[in-house]
Amino acid sequence: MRITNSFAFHLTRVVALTFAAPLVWALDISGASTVQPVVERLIPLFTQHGGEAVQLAGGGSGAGVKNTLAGTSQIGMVSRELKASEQTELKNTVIAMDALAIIVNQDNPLTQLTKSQLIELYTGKITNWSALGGPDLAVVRVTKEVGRSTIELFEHFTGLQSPDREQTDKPLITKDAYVIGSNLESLTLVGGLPGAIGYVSVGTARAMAEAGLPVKVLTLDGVEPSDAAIRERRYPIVRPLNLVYREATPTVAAFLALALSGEGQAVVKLLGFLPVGDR
Amino acid sequence: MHMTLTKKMIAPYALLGILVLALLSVLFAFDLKRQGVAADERALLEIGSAVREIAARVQTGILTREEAMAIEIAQVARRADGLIARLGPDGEGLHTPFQDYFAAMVAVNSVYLENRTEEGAQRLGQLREQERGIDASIVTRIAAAEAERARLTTLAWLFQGVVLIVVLAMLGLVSVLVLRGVIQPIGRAVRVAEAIAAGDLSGTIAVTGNDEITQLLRALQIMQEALRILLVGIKNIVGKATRGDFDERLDIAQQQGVARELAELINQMTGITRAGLHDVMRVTDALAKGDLSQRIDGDYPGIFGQTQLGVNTHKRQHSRQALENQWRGAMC
Repeated sequence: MRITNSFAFHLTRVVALTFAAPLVWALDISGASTVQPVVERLIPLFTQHGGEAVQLAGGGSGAGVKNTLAGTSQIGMVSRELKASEQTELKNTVIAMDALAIIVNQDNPLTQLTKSQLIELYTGKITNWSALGGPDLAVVRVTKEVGRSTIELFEHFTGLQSPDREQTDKPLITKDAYVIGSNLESLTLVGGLPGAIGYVSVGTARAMAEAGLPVKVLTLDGVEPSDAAIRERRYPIVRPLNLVYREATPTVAAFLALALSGEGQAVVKLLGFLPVGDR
Repeated sequence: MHMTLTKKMIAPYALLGILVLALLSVLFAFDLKRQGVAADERALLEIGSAVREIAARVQTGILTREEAMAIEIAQVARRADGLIARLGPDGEGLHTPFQDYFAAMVAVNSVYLENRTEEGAQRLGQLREQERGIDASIVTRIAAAEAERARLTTLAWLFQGVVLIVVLAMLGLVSVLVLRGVIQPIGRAVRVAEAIAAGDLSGTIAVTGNDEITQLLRALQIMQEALRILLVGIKNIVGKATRGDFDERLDIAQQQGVARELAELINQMTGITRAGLHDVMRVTDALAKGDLSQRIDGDYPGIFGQTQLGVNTHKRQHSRQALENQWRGAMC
């Protein structure tokens, strides 16, 4: 029995298509996977309004900051508050507000978690959902790779630390957790494994759950990540979605203006994030 | 152990029924086990199919760059995870490899969606090894499941043969038990009844147990004893009567029902005969001695009544003749 008979063929096509793409871009945008779907939908609007070709890549908030500072990207996508050092070198525009949602598979009957339970799950103290009154099912933890703003927010909230970072006295996220990159990856993994738990952008989680992905967002410390709770910062893990840049060239300014326009904010809302006009 | 005839007849069949049920339960358990193995085989095939489907959908997702593909990938993985969970606590060792493979495939999809194509191409290459591992694992487990199913099928056939032999043996045993417990005692009761019907009351009826046949034999025994006592009494009374002794009486205290009525009538008959003959003897003795004062009193039926009437009439004629003779002698 063969698993993928035409796998090599498809792989060749993927690589060929990739290298056949245009090589010169007027605007290069990279960074947070949380912001990426918004920008992805803004690009066609941008070109419709006369904007030039845009290259888009993920890589996480860290990559967005790094690429913008290096000049390889004109705009960086950053899904967290800017650090003081970054604020001195980069300008930023908040295009939306988001929260970190704790998600589990739809088959999991659990509806809420406390911060301490979340910590016990991610340190490996709780290994089976039955310990929390759920089914007799092993807990599958999904965490994010270092460099993503999502894990920084998660670490900040829980006081845990990724085992991939330089070791400190902070308790570590268990090593058997799956380390993933994008929000979509986390959502797909949690949606596919009934025992999984992950943390992702609430906007992406909502949008994908509504589209049919079998995941659900849990209430954290008794607060549901609703628009109101995010707006009022009652939900414990809230973050801004930024577009950062070094220089507001006409192209960059035009793109930022589009993101803050009614059309751009409609995209933000469509993807489940909180538009900045609502703040 | 004392058992009624009903229990003697039902018990062997009940035992046979219980045995057959027990054997059928074992066969049912065999079948369930076989079905379970067949279900595992189907699940393994479906898991293999799901693994291929995940790979195909990831490739499609990479090509089409549609996020919706992630939903389909998750649905397929969820189905596969459920199938693996059905195989046992560890899904026959497939759980972790499948999860790792799924996570790796999802990562590749996401990497391509983030336009990290070089990294994606590298990861795709690494996934081939994982695919081969899962594939080989599934093939091995399917072969093991097929062998187990074949073994269970052979065992089931053998067991069915054993069941058939055991059931036949049990039927034979049940027949013997019914024969010994029911048919043979009935035959004994029939022979006793036939002997009594033929007038042989000398046989000994052995009575043991407390079933219906024993009760029948006991009744036959009582009947035989009552008949024997009655017939001995009748024989004795008739023998003495033929020798002119009408003083013998049957003991009615030992008799019941029709036998008692018969004994009472015989006693009554010998009593009447004795009383009648005694009166006739008394009157004729007196006549022989010239005593004409005696007569037969009482109320005798039938031939005894006619005898009474004849003797009394004869005695009156003698008395009147004697008076005439006395009157003529006085006149002369």
